[in-house]
Amino acid sequence: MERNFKKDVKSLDDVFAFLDEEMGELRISPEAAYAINLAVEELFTNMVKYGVGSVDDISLSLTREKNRLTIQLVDHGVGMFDPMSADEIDTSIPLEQRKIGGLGIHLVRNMVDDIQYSYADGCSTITVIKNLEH
Amino acid sequence: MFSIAVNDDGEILIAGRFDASQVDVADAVFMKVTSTTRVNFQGLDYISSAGLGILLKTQKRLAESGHSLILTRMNKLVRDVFRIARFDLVFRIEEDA
Repeated sequence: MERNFKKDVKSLDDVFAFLDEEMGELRISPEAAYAINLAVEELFTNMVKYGVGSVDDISLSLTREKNRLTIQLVDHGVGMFDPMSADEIDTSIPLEQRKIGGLGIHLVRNMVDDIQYSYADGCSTITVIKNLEH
Repeated sequence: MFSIAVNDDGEILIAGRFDASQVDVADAVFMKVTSTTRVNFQGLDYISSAGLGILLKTQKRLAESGHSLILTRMNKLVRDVFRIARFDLVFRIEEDA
């Protein structure tokens, strides 16, 4: 199932409503659902933040094949920007040196099983894989 | 839905889903905090890096005057996000008795 969302952080309510509906039908556990919600939010807000130059919608789709859930976000009409190319943040440093930049991607990397970025014909596509227990 | 309130004891109560669209609402409350304050997570189902950012910013500001946030009653899924972010090194998180 695929749906398009306006490239705006205010779309998040609609994004979560779509995810809730889809994951309910796909019988996803609360733990996996949390990870998927978080991955989609972080990647969607990255596209809102960095996908400038285009007001086209962001497409979001979920597909389950056995114990593997594939989530795909496509940002249309933008330049190439791979959020996963950023260096891993250092989470061991003291409070005064901690920064919020990069934290979202750190969380995504640690909560899903695979993330792939591709770019073609002005479209940035991020594909996330989450393996499910059941 | 996200909600944030301050009770008569000065404790901040947060509930629902603390995502990137709620940053301004939450920041307006946390900006007013000037001393050590408890934040009750009992009704909070979800937090992302946007919510963590507000908490981190507040903690850094309070630390300059020797104060801090004390986080309480977190559910397991939210607690896991704090652990992955290693925010358990940055905040005092009270476990339920």
